[in-house]
Amino acid sequence: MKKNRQKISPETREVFEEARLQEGSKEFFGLWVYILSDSLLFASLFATYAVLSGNFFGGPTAVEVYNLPMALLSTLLLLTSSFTSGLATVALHRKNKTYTLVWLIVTVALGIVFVSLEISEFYELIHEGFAPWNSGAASGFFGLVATHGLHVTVGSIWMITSIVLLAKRGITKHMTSNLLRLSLFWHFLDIIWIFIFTIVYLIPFI
Amino acid sequence: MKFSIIRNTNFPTPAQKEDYVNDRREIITYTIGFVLSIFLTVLAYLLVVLDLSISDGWVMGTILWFAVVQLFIQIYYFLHLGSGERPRFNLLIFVLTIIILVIIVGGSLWIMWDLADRMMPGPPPPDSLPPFSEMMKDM
Repeated sequence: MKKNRQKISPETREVFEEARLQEGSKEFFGLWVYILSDSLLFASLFATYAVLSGNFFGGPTAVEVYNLPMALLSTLLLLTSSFTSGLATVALHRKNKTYTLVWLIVTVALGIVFVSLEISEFYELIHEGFAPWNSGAASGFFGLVATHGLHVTVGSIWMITSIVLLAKRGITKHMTSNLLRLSLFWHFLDIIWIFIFTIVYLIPFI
Repeated sequence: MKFSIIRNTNFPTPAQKEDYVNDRREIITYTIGFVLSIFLTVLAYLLVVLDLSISDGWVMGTILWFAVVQLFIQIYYFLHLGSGERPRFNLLIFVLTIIILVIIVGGSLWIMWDLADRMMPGPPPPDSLPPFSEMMKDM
């Protein structure tokens, strides 16, 4: 059966062309909506932390156990990794596979160092008695900071997988869409961390 | 190679030159955002760690504003939101989310602060509660 082909006006054709050029824009928008929903999650965790932040239940207090220099180092690490993920995006736009890989590897390396520092910090805190099963303040702290650390970990797994796939298959439309979404996710994590650093680490020390 | 972006090279076609200019602009954008963010972070850190004779309220307000400013810096320079590059509804939905966020966080803090404010010291007066046996009989 012959399909009834309508005549497409030039304007309509232009819209189709435009939509086809923005390949992967649906997926990107999807991740963007996910990020906004994730922000609501972090907002509740922040609110919970803020409400519980004074309840040390007689145990060690924030000022006693928080390691502020290490928190600053972590912040600078994550900030740099956000920057290098941006450089990876530039290399990606230039279709330069080598430098995309280089900057992605730097980014995930910084992310892994960040998570390792955080895990060692958690170990120290729990060792000193600031544990989520000991006080409400520690519960709020771990709920917020560990959730963020989990996000960074999963993002790192995503990035390592992408690096391997990029090395094997090169820059394709699908890979481009994937890497753009990944870098958006990574920037988001850094933004959340800025608030964690300010509200959780800096404020008790004022 | 990537470093040709930083050094001047010959461009056989005008399209290549346009690419070079655009990529250079992108790298500069990211670098500006990076440097500004580091600046704000270190400044906030120093403000807290160096015990300057500024009142606590001012310091807290300032570093919170630094965080908000850094949020906008990263959103503009890293995510390119607001520079007209991304579809407009991304920006709109972001603004709506911020509104919901403010309601959630602000509302929670308001409620909990109000409850804390209502907590009076000491036990309640003996006649204001129903007898214990009355409360238990439904269990």
